[in-house]
Amino acid sequence: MKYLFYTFTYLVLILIQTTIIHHFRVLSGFYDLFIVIVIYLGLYRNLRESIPVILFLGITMDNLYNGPFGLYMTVYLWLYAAIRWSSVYFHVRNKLFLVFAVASGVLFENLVFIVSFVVFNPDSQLPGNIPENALGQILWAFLTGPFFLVLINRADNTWSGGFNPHVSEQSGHV
Amino acid sequence: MMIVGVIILVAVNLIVLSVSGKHHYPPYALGRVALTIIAPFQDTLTHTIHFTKSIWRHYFFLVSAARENENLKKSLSHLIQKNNEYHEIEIENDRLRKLFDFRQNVADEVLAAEVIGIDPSPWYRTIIIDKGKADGIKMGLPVIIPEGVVGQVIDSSERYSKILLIIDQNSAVDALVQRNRARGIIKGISSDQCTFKYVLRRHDIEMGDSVIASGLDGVFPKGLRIGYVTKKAEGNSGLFQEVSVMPFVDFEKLEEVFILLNPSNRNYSDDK
Repeated sequence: MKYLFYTFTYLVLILIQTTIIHHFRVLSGFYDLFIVIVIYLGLYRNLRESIPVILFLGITMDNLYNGPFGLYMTVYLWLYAAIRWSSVYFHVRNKLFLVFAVASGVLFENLVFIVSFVVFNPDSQLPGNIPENALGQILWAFLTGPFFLVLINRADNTWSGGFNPHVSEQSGHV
Repeated sequence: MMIVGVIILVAVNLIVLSVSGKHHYPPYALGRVALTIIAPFQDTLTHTIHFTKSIWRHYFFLVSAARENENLKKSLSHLIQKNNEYHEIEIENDRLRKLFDFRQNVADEVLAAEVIGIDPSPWYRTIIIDKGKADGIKMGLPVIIPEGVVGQVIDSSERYSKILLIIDQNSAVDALVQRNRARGIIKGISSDQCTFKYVLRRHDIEMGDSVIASGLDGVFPKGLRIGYVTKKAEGNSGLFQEVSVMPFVDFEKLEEVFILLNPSNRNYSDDK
């Protein structure tokens, strides 16, 4: 049931990213919504449950975009590791942490892409719209990231609770 | 122990990335998994969005449509007269074509397709269309719309294909300036514009000059419109000048495209 939930969330988010967003110009600089799932998994789910989901998300994005295969998977795995590591030192369920978590994830992804762009395309110049593109994504992440995190957590609890009432009581709450 | 593990993980990660970074299109079936799984959902959702948009346009915009209708009626009478003239020209054109046996059977086989998805990363520019191998699509076929060149097919499953847009950083099109035949390469930079590289400094390039496909890359037939010159910087040294080109195609509004199924030798600049 848990993987059914992830499959449903995955489908909704990938369709938002690849099919719906480009119909709305104002959302053209939106960030990668899978970052929210990765952070959610890092904060609230165990390693055994998270890794297959992250690998699946990574393979999907690596299939659909046009860059080096494995880059998205790299971003997601290291982001997940960073979130897990942060949970040792910070009180990760603090609301302030949530506000910064998604934005930091988006910043990290953009940095990895800039580095990969420079490494794999040494002859090409960086696209001129990078600063405003990245800033726009981070701003969107600040505004909507915590909301998506709470939404996924609630949906997960409701979904699990709907099939097994004991699970929702055991799951974490934001 | 943990530090060793992390070092090994980083090393493996970097090796895999450096290998895959050399060829952007995964040549194995894994590369098409997501295309096969996601594209049907994208297809359905795109049709639903278009259906909803159509309802919006047809029912909720009736008020503005009524006003527009009055204006259209006025212009209709004028257009009917124009249409008669064009009809006459069309008949004359057909007659002359037959008379001079002017390239009667060279029409390319064109396949129309709908855009159902875009690249999820803002760093790369590709689209997904609802036609694939089953419709006769192959890797490398050129994709166009009436305004100009869109890109080329880089991957396809049975029913869906991925198109590399000419504004993507991995795209390169051999091109000519239509006015003075100065040659160069149209290279994408993953923004709305392209750069026109390797144009010799001795060529006189003017703002607004049209750039067309040269046909020498073996992908895009000669004469297909690409864009117009928006900026040039000759500089003081070097063999080449730096030229920016704005594509004729508005990639933000791309909804339908055409794939040329037999683009071999046709020269589009002769068709005028």
